[in-house]
Amino acid sequence: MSGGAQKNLFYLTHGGRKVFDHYFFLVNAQQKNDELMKEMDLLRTKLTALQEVESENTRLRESLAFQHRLQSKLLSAHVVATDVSNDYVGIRIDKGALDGVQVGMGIISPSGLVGRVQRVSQSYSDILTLLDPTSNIDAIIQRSRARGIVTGQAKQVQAKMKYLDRLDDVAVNDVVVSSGFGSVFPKGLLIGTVSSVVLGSNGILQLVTVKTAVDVYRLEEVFIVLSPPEPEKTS
Amino acid sequence: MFFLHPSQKRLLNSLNPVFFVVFVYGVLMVRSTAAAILPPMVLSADLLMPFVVFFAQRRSTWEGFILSLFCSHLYSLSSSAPIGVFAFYYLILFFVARLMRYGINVSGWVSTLVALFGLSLGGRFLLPIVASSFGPAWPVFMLKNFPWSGIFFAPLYGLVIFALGEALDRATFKADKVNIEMYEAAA
Repeated sequence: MSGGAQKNLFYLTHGGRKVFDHYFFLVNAQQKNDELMKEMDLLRTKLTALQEVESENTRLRESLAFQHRLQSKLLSAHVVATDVSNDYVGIRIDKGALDGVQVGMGIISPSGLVGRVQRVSQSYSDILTLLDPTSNIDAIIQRSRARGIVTGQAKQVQAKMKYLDRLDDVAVNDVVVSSGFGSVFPKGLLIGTVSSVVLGSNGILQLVTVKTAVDVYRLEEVFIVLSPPEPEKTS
Repeated sequence: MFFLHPSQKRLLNSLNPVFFVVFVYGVLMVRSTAAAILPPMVLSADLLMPFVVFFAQRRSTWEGFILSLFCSHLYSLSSSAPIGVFAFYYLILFFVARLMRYGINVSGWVSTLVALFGLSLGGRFLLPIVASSFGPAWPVFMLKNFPWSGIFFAPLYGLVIFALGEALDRATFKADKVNIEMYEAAA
């Protein structure tokens, strides 16, 4: 009998405690909840900032490795703006004449070729990217060594390779690299991959579309080629 | 605001063009720095055209011309296009919009929308012609490069620019020449 009473009393006291915990202490819980939410928001902000630092660290490490690999004298710069017009594709970087930048210098990134310097002011430079319709970059198909000119068509990650005749060996997925002619860009720098090949209406030239390796709208850091490597001398 | 001294009102009035240039500069800054997060229809829209139409419709010929020239030069400096392409293009647009005054009185939202759409579409044919005289511009001619979303977005965005421009005019006590002419005609 006492066992039954104890049991009921036990349930009663526990029930009472639960009611007390869940309802009377709920005011404190709400307050604690608010504090924890604030703390969580703060930690989330810190985590995002840390992820950004980590991502920047990775990018910079890749850039450093790229700089060592290329054997050219490079100067790093940050992209500060893109073109206001949709018909021309340019970017602005935070290095100018004071840093030794000159008109015509090549601009590259670890992902591939970006363009060349078009206008220079004291502290900033405007870059004509390879996606701009007025840009012309000497290029070769890596596999067959067929040579042509890559020019932009004001479209995101799409350019054209001109002057490839019908006898030139070009296929979809072929890698397009810089030829090194003109000493603006180092030889063999990635430009993109061939995404389509169509014979032109005149039957002489091939219309080759190139998917560029670099998306200029997402670029954050680039390199200015201050002096490309000396071409190898043949004896 | 309405209890300002006449000299203060005159000062605000004379600063009106400066406010417009700062306004245009702000729009260009946003467009050039936030390209990664702006939707494609905003990126492909002609963001300066509504301002030029506003200057053509709400300003005297010389004031509108100078404002359009200044703003289009700012636009040119923020673009990799050869210097002069956009200045030339927007000045032609300015004179076309100015001539439109004889046909359409851009005062209500419907007439504003019609005028802006017409110039947004016509501008797409005009730009390649102007650009080709400064260098190669063949991609702009291609139908697959035609920015349809931008052409339809520009008039809607232009309505907002017109509303803000008129608000700025009221705030700086800028007399609307069209309204004065209409008031004088009614009197």
